[in-house]
Formats: sequence, structure tokens, C-alpha cells
Amino acid sequence: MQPKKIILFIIILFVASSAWLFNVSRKEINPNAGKNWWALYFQNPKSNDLNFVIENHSNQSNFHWEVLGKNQKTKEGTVNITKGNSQKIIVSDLDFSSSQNKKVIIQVNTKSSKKEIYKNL
Amino acid sequence: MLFFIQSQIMFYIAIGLIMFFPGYFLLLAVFEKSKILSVLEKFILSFGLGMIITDFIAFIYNKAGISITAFSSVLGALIFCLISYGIYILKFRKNKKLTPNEIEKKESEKEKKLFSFSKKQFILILLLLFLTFFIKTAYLTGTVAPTATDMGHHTYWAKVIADNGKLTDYENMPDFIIGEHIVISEIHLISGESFFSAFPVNFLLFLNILGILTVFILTLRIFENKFVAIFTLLFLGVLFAVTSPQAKFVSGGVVGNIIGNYFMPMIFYFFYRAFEFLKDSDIIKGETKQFQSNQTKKFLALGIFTTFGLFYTHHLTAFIFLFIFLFLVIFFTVINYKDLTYLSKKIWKIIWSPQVISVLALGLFFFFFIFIPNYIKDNAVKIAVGHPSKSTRDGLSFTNLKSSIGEARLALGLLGLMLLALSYKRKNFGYAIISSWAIMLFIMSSQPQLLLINLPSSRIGNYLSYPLSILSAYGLVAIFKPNMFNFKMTNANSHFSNLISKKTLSATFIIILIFVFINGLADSAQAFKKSPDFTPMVQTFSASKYLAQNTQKSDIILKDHNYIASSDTWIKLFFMRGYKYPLSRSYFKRYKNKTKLEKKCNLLMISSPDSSDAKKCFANTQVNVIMVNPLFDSAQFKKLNNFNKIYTTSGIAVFYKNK
Repeated sequence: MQPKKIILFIIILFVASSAWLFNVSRKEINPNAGKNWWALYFQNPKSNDLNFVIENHSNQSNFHWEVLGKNQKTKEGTVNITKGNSQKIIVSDLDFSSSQNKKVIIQVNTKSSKKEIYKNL
Repeated sequence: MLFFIQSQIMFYIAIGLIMFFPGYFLLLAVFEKSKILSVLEKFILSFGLGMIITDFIAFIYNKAGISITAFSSVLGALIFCLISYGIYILKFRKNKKLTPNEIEKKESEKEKKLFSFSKKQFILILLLLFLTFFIKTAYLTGTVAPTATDMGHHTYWAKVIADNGKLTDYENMPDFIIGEHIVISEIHLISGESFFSAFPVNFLLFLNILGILTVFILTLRIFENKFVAIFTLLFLGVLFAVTSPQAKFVSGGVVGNIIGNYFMPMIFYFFYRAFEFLKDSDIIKGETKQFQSNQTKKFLALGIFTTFGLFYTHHLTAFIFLFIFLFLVIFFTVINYKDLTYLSKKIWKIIWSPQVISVLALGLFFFFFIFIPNYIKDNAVKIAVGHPSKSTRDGLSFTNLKSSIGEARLALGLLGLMLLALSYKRKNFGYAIISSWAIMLFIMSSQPQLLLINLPSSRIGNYLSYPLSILSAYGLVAIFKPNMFNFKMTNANSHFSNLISKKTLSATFIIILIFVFINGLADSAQAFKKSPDFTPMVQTFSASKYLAQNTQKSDIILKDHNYIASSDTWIKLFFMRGYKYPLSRSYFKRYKNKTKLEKKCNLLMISSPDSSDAKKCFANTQVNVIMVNPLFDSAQFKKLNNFNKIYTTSGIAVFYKNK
């Protein structure tokens, strides 16, 4: 009888341990749980398309964006993105056809941080 | 939440289906309902045997061109269980043994005696098991996230098998062995659990515990002393529970070692049970002799089967096992040279039996005709043999051994070895196993040049903790309970007991135990450290996911290993475009003595992308996507007009080369 009880105890301990570890890893792999960061990227990285995405996993929700061509602001805006969501910003209406070999920078600011991505057209 | 619970339940079902049941039914077919194995032993050994059976089924599938899927994995296991059950029924009908005979009753009584513990012993076992799980789980809580380098490599190969439905050739790399990945792959297929979850860690934790439990039953069988077995559980399970090769190997994904440390004691267990009879061979006669002879052959066959499993799983453990086994044979022969003719006749009868020969032949057939491990094909053995080529392979000093095994365990282990020599029973094969296991590992890890071994000494030294835990337990019990063992120096022994009063003996025992606990639990402090911030890890994964969606196989990605979070070896799981995809800028020190341009390309393409050498490298390698940490490697790309910064977070930036 004792060996059976030992087996049962081992099974209970293993199930409890693994359930705990599954739960911990689920939280750790979750980009939002207990984390504070955001990402900025082009929707189409290989083309000249400048549409971009702000993916928010931070506690900030207000994002101010600017499109800079020839070091000048050509378009700007503010979006509100709650934690765990992302927002696509469409700037394909901008015409940079005369800006061959020029760098177009997308700059995004929150209260505490700033990020930029760019394309050389 | 429902999916989370469901996938967990499926994880346990998968473990049961492809690990436990095939092993359990194999034991049922082999031993029927015999009490020669206790319930606990059957439980512990079934998982290991089941894993090997699952490996062999996968080899058959691979050879027959049957795809390895969740369905075929379950079907294969079920067919095996049914065949085994059929064999059991046939044997049962043939023997028509509805009630056990006298010999079996005796075996049953012996098993009952050995596995029935006093109330205090029983509580102590449960407490030790609880502490073992608790300390390891506490440590793994902070390390369970998918960041470990080795785990990243192993899960990649498991995913390759799962995605392709067939076994892999590991791109002709001898570093990985098929047995390390088949079961992980099938658990993933059946349960649906992601490789990025805790499932690989939980799987290894379970195997680690099973390895410890196997040592527990091995010790119990050899010494037939519950105190020694319980103390072994203390020395191997609770003390030094975090340090390598325990929880650190689990979290680090040192898959082969973890499985090897389960299979090797299993092999020793089966071999011991096969030759256990030698210690009483003079007094066993008649029907009992016949009965034991049959069981012995079965145990040896299972030992050989497990040995093949080991050779299909981990070359280092298999290599070490070969040396230990060779030493064991020589050692046992030398100390029994007077009875050599008599013993060899008995042993030969067992080896030359249908059970043993058929398993040996089947194993060899699989090994050479069904699935050849890639380390055999690629002559990895040649790399492991020869004069030590690096200082890390020169052998461990005594100080190194102390830090590797633990001061308390080393001291008590050596004492245990000496005491074992004093109470040595020549014909006890178990004593020979424990001695050979410890002595050979000592030689291999401290004096490798004597045996022409060219392997990292610390890796071999890690294996010592297993036999030394047994010897430490034996040493401790033998000092304070000497009457339990048949010491040859009986006079000296009685003097020893008489010289020291009971109180002094108890006080000494407590002092040693305190020293053992302080030393052994010191590493467990790591278990309660604050978990690190996993933001860099999720950023790496997020960028990888973005690139996997926005690039093709023709795009060549180069990532940095120096400044990207340690999870960078997991990046390749998002792409599944080859083991060496994406390319990697390795640690800077590795480029120091490189003179050829192609060996330095990965460094140059990130560090100085505008240099003429880097430009040649870009042309040769076709690299067009760079993943770096923006804090360290952003400025050099910003000033170039042929790189676009397409993705950024605080920890990862991605540059795309557009011209």
C-alpha cells in the first residue's frame, strides 16, 4: 500500500509543479503581463510604402507620430492605443516621388520615450 | 483559460500514452503479474522503457515512410500495448497460473519487506520528495521562460520532426542525437502544447525526478537497507538540488544529460537484478534456481534494451557508460578470480539465452539497418578519444571536484567508498556496480589522459554526483549504524562502537548532518532569487514573428548574439529555415584569431557594414536583414543610405538592406 501512496504523492507533486510552471511561463511569455514596452514598424518593410504600425504593450496610451522628409515635418498626428493593441497609421497619401535617394523618417513619441524607423527611398 | 487547462491535461495524457503505458505493458508482457518488481519500481521504470519503445516505433515509421503525427504516435503506442497485452494473455493461458506458486510467494514477501517502510521512514520519504520538487520548482520558476541556449537548439530539432513528420539527419551535425527529440516532438504533437510554454522544462523536470527515483530503488535493492536508500534520496534529490546536473540542467535544456542520468541508473538496475542471484548462488537450488534463472535473463534483456535506448539518446553518457561497464567487468572478474570458472559458466548461460540474444540482435539490427545515430556516421567517437586538446579537458583538480560535486558529498562519498571496501561482498554485483561507477568517473574526470579521453572534464565530473550520493548515504549510515553491515573488521568495528559513547556518536551525527545540510542547501538559495525581467525576451520573439511574416527563405537574416537577450537561439523556431538560420554574430572573442574573411563576415557585417570587407561579405552571403540591439548597434546603419530601419523596440532593431 505504501508504494502506491508514494506513487500518488509523486503524481500530485508533479502535476502541482508543472501546473505552476505552466502558469508562470504563460505570464512570462505574455507581452503585456507585467511588461512595459512598445514597438514601431513598417507594415510593408520591403516596399517604398511608408504605412507603419504602433504596437503597444506599455502603460502609455498616447502616441504622437511625425513623418519627416528632408528633415522637415510633412505629416503628424496623435493616436490613442490601449495596452495590448496596435494601430496602423496610413501615410501612403504622402508623395515622396520627388525625393529620390532621400531618407523618410517616422518618429513616434510618448511622454517618456521616442522611437524612429526610416526608409531610404 | 479553458484552452490552458485543456492543453495541460493533454500534456499529462501524452506523457501517459507515449511514455508510461508502452513501458508498463512491456513489463506486464515480460514479468506478467509477478511480484519480482514492486509497484513503485514498475512505475519508475515504465516511463524510461516507454520512451525507448516510442523511439523504436518512430524508427520503424521513418523506415516505412509513415509520417509521425499525433494520430500515428498514439496508434503506434496503442498497438504496442495491445501486442504486449496479447503476449501476457497468451503466457497466462499457457501457464494457467491463477494463483502464485511458492517461489513467487517468497518473491512477493521479499518485495513487501523491502518496500514496506516504518511510519517515520514513510513520512521522511514523502518529505524528501516534497522538498525535492519544491526546491527544483522554486528555481525553475525564475528560469522556465524560453531563454536557455541549449533548450532553444533542442526544441528546434523537436519542431523539425513534428513539422515534417519524419526523423531528421540534423544537417549532418553529430552534436544532436535522435532519442533526445522524438518523445518531446510527439508530446508536442499529441498535446498541442507550444514549445514556448513550460512543457519542455516540465518534461525534463519529470525525467530528472525519475532518474533520482531510479537511484533510490537501485540503492534499496543493492543494500537492502532503507536508511541508505532514504539518505540517497536526501543527497541526490534535496541537497544540491539546483546545481548541475540537477535543476540547472533542467532549465538549461541539457536534454541528453538529463535522459542519460535516468537511463544509466536504469541499466545498472536491470544489470544488478540480472546478476543479483550471484550473491546467493551457492545456496539457491532446484525450482527456485530455475525460476531465478528465467527472471535473470529477462532483466538482462531489459538492461540491453535500455542500453540501446541510451546509445540512441546521448553519446556522452553512452561513452561514459562504456568505460564504466568495461571497468565493472574487469573489476568483478579480478575480485572473483578464484570462482571465475564457476561464475563465468553461470553468467554465460544467462547471456546465451533466447531472451538476451534476441534483444541484442534486434538492437543491433535497428542500430545498423533501421536508423544509424548520426554520431556514428560522423565519427564523433574519434573526436572524443585522444590526448586532451584543451586545458578544460586536462582533468579536474580536487578543488574543482569539490565545487562540482559539493564538499559534503565528496567527503562522505569517499568515506562511503572506503567503508564499502571494508564490508565488501565479492559476489555482490551491486557493490561492484557502485564502486566501478564512482571509481571510473573519478579517473575519467580527474585523470582523463590515462584513458585517452578528450572531453570537457567538468561535463564528466557532473556525473559523479550520482554514485557519490549513494556512497555518501552508505557512508553516513555505515558510520552511525555499523551493525547493519557486515564489516570485515568486526573486531575493529566493535571497538569503534565501544570506544565512543552513544551520546558522542549522536552529537557527531547531528554535527555532520548540519554540515551536510548547510553545504548541500547553499545552492538552493539561487532558487529564491527574484525572477529577471523578460521584456527583452518578448521583444526578441515579437521581432522574430514580424520577420517570419515579412520575409522569405531567400532573405538571409543575420542576428547578434552579444547584445540581444539570451533567448536569441529560439529565434530560429519562428522561421524553421534551417538550424543555422538566421546567421549569428557570435561572441567577439571567437573572432580574435580568425584570419579568413569568410570566418569574420558575421562580425564585419554588423560591426562595420560600410567597410570593403563587409561589402564583400554581403555579396557572398546575401545577407539583407540585420537584427541587433539598437543601444549598441544602430549608429553604423543609420549613416548608410542602403539600410532601412524597419522595426524597433527598446531592445531590438531590424535593418533591411534595400540595395
